[in-house]
Amino acid sequence: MSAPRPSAERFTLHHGAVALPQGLLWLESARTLVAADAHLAYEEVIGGALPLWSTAESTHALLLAARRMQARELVLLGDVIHGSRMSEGAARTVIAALDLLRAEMRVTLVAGNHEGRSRGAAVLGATEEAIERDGWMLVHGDRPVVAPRTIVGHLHPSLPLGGGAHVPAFLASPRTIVVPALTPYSNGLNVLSREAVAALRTLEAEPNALHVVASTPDRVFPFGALGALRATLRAGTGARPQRYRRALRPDRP
Amino acid sequence: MSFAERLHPDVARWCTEYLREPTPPQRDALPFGLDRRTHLICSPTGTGKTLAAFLPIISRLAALRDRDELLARTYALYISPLRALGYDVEHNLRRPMREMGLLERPNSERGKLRRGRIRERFVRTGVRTGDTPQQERRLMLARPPHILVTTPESLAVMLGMESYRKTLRLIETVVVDEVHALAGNKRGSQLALLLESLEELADAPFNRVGLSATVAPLERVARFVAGGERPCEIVDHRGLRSIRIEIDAPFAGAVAPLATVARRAVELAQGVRTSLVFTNVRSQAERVALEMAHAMEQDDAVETVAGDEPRPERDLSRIGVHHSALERSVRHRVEAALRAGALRTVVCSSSLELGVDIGFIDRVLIVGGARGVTPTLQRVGRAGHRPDAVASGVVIAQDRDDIIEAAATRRCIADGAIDDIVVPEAPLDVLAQWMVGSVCYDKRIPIDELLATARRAYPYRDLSRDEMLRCARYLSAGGVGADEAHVHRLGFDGEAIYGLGRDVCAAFFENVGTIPDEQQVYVRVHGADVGRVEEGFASELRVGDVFVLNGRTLRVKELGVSGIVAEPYAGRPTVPQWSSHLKGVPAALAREITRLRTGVAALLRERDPRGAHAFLLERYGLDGGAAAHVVRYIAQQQALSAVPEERRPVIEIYRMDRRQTAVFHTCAGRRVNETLGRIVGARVFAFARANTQITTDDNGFLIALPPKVQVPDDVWARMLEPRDFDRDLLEGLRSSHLLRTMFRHVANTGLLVLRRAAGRTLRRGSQSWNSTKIFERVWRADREFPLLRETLRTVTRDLLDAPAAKAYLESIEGAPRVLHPAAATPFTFGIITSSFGDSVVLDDRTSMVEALHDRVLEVLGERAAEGIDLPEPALPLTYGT
Repeated sequence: MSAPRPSAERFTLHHGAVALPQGLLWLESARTLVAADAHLAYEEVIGGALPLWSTAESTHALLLAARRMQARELVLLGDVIHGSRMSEGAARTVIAALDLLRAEMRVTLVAGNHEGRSRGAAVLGATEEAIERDGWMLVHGDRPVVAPRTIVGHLHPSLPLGGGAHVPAFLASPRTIVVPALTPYSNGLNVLSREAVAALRTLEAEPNALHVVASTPDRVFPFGALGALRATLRAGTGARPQRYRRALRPDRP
Repeated sequence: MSFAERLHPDVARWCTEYLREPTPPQRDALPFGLDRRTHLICSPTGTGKTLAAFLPIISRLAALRDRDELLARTYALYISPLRALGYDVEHNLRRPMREMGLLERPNSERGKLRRGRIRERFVRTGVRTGDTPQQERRLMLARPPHILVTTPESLAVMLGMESYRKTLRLIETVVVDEVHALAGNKRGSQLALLLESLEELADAPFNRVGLSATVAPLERVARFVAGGERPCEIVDHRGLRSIRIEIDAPFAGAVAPLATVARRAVELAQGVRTSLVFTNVRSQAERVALEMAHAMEQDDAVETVAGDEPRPERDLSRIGVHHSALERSVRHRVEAALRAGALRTVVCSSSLELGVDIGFIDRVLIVGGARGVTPTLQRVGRAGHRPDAVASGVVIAQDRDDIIEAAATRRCIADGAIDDIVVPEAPLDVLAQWMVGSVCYDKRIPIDELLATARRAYPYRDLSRDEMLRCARYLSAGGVGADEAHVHRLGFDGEAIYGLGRDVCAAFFENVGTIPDEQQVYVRVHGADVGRVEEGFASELRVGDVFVLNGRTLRVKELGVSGIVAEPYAGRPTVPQWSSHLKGVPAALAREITRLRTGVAALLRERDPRGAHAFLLERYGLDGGAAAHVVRYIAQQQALSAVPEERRPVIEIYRMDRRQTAVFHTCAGRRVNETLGRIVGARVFAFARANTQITTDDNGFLIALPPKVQVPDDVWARMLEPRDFDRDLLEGLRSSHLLRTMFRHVANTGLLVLRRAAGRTLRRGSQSWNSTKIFERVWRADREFPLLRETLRTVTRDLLDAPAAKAYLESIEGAPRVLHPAAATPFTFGIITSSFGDSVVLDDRTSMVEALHDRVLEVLGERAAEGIDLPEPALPLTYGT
């Protein structure tokens, strides 16, 4: 899977882990759907007197995917909420959203750094530090892990599309999978940036060998290895063009 | 002095001793001040306005003291839009007050003894701004200053806090300085509302004194100052200072390279002690300063290290740079050095237009032009601070458009045609913020009472009850459209709004104000912050790029989340500077520019170039060389295409870079052109289903189509029809960056999204990302949402000018002319270079214009020679090549 591939509705990464649209990960044997960094009720965290649009949208997307895949379990891979400080109404909304998901399948919450490990307990209920499914260790990813195969969230990887737009992207190697963030309120960590390489080094000795799979609401786009992708993009831009020279002599109409 | 007998004896004595002769504004304003009548003083900088406002206040305080009636309360407020100005004023006030024997000596025994007394023996002044340390604020509460100097934002905070409110009940006079810099924006809207809140709080009505540099119309500004139906006297001394503007055109062809402009600036600065060089954009200030330093070095025959070796950093000790992106401490150092005479030349953007005290300036130089009559007056007014001295300024034209602009500006000044100030109409974001502040911490105000208060503020005189109700509903967690929210900024029971206690108020205090957070990134050199650049510029930078900041050439070492790490570098910049807001020519000046152009064109049509030359000399006072430049310029335009008239625009169609490109010469001022560009963009999209690239400048706008897309001439000609104006404008704005950026500012001001929450500032990158997401959702959920409506109002009224654009389209007589010139015409040089945006480095702009000009001369060939028989424009002085 080293070269870029055509877009698809699903794309198998490694060891039965499949990238789905919406930035969701599917573990085939366990029939487990994995979503990272939902940051529910984020509208309030940014100090917004706003309706919790993203909570409703994320819940809806998770329910649809779970039904389509006939999932037995949903794992929310940390940062389900963004801090436990939220209004009563927001807390009720988040609890209702989780109840809706729990009515469909088993929901397992992995602790992240943003709900503050235990502080969000009133809203979230019990959380796990780490769980194992299909031979993968699932943790949030804000702390170092020692395991042969890990699935993490936390980094919000994304691929810039130019013009300030970004699309969530998986990063995957045989030993590590980074799941992109579910929340729409994050332009994410630009996987092409130096910061990304530095951050990824704590997870993977060779960040450039990680494969990039972008994920839109209805498709996934395998882009091949990160190092190769970066090299391709760099070659495409090159020196600043001096195209205005051509404008000096307008072509004849 | 006739009014001396009405002043307190100590004050009167000081006046006779130190003032001798009052200035005309002082003479006319003092009686109003002594009667405590609301008045507006409008006169140029340095004509004694501030003292005119304060003498009656000081006199009154002295009288209260004599009668032993002076309480520990604030009697007078002085509000300035600039913190620095506030400090200056307080400082400048203390000297006369000390000389009048009104001020307590610091730490005097007497003072200590009397501290416990209720009646006061001395007058105190104090400054309260966002910078005031906590300890000082506490002291100020314990012993409130009698004269309090503050900013609109700090006033908002004080009016929200019960402890401060008590100290403001006895307020007698409010002085609003720099009204011209407030009335036209949302800070002014905020202040107008706050003054009405203060009226509600005060035990008795207070009088207001507005101080303004040249502004028009005065009646509108006076109503803004007074509020409601209250009367306001006007002291008009706008023409008090004689202004002399010279125009210097240091080029022979079509454009002057920046190095030539800088060299000329050095020459002009050499003859005088201090000089101030104004540029329009911060980046230009940096480049001009750098070039001037080069020129000075050459003058000193300083050896430069040749070859590849990096040269040492340039000595910038003799030349300062001042603009708003620089660190405050850097700016203060420059101001102080200029005042002290340690620095003889300072290059600035508009940052030194406002009244910060920088002492006497001998000569003002304006690079390019000030893009407006009022800014020209303010800039030139910086020269020679004595009211009776002639303020003289030199415009150094960079191209022929600059000559025309300067000539038209001069004509407008002579005719008294000043740009009208536009007061924003009832901004709802500011209203929402004020409503939250009004009920802090737990006040309850009936909605009708609040509406009546708001309507007394001039910008809100036509505010509808419905609009206020919508704001109340949104603020009380009414959500957006049908989607409910959970965060309450205030309570609302249908009848009244009420405060919700400490936490909500804390959010209000943290986010008070209307100044948009400019997205800026810090630049660090050797571990110290040296300034900021806009985020958009920073995101384009790569490691190794060389740019200019604070007069220093810097190379990017590292780009991080926290900022840019750079190192000093000796070499040519590789990237153009960050783009700050470019100011545009307002409508009145644009009309005069059109008049000049059409006047010359008419004479040229009659084959009378000498008459055209004479017309420029007589009506516009140009010298022979500059006039010859202009005549040639317009003749070239006419020979290749046509000169646009006030009601007859010209549309030129080109093919450039295999793209059909239309240049609309609409000549209606920057804001109108910008509006028209959006509309035509939407119409082209509707016709050809193609996205276009739009570039606007002072004289028109350019639309570049994608390759292979073609619009026929008759369709171009119909693009300026007034039909479906509003629909097409909305369509043109719908997906624009402008609307999204403004939404973020409005959402911040209207407290929909907070800039700071629980003591920390949210990261700006995420802020802009979030607000784009939020904008899209709000747009889908509720088009009538007050802050969305406010965003559209801000964009179409404050930034663009939809009403004027519509009026312009309706005024067009017949169909616009659609022409296909054989070469890019001279009137398009500016806009074509701008349309290449960042890919044209500043220096390249010059060579590009020269190349375009050469092409024009080539195409015109003999034709040019036959019509025009004028002397070559003479080069003033000598210029190196």
